[in-house]
Amino acid sequence: MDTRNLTSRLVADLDPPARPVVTEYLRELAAALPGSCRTRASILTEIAHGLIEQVADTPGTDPATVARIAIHTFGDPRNLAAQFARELTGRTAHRTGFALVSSGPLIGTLWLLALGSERPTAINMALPQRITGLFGALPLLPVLLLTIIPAALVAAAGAGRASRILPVTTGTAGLAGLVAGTGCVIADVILIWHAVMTAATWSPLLIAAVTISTARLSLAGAAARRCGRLRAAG
Amino acid sequence: MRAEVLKGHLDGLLLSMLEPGPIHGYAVIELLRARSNGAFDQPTGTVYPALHRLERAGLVRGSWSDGPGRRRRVYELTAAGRTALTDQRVSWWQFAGAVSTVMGGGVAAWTPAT
Repeated sequence: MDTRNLTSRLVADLDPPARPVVTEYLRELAAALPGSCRTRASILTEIAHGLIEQVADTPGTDPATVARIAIHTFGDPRNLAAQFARELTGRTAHRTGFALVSSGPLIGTLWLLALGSERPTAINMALPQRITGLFGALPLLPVLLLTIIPAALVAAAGAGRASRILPVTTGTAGLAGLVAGTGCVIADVILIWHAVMTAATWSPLLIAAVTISTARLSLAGAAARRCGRLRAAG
Repeated sequence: MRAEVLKGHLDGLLLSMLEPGPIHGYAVIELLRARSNGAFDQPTGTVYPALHRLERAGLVRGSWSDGPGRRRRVYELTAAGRTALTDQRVSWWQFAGAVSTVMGGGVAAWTPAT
């Protein structure tokens, strides 16, 4: 959504001389706010309504002066944007961590089944043997998992019930989301590269594993970038 | 009153403003100002991120209300928010009672009704 059009629409209820003052404040806030267009539009709408009420409650006769006093009472838009950025960091980290923690075991199991499926001798192998075999072939994978799992759990504590219990700041949760997402991208690239280099035949399971990992790779990469950007803005 | 004095108590104050029922952000600010006789006159804007923080923690629920007039974002306490408010009240009264006793204010420590 175009924030320029949105701010013009939001201030339409104000007296014409007060509009440019409030519009300028909202544009400054919009410029400093991180996050998606939808999130920014939602925050701008809420703040604009608060500002309009503040203008209505401020005594005075000259609308432009009244608007300036109201804005002063509201506080610096860049500080406000930084405070919202911290909230958005916590929420984004929570979603990233939660998605990785809940999808990880399923995708891991799919890979364990897929990487044995093209070799008849490996079909009857027990799960622990498959895990040992995979970690033996790809020694970086256990190191990555030992980084990704705790980081994803910390990121998930960026919001919700866990955020009330654990002393995890939004900055820490954002960093954990960045680390978990990046780790996931590296792990998926390693798994896909291993499949491409070693698979003699492509079973449906292996095709499914590569497809799902490719999708997760792009989603985890985007989530990691978002966590990093929001954390920097807060 | 300076903003740093409120630090640590703002969440409890906001939760108590929402106790009677759902209200929008600016009404929270007005209520806070009125109930404190203007003593808690924070930069108005800071209340909005604080409400978002409470929402992130699952203590309040925010939703858009399409009633008459402007579309507003309305906040209400969740069950976890009510529990947190009770806990914050108890710890505040214990703290305030202890400080008053030590400083000679003569205010007895509050004990919750059973």
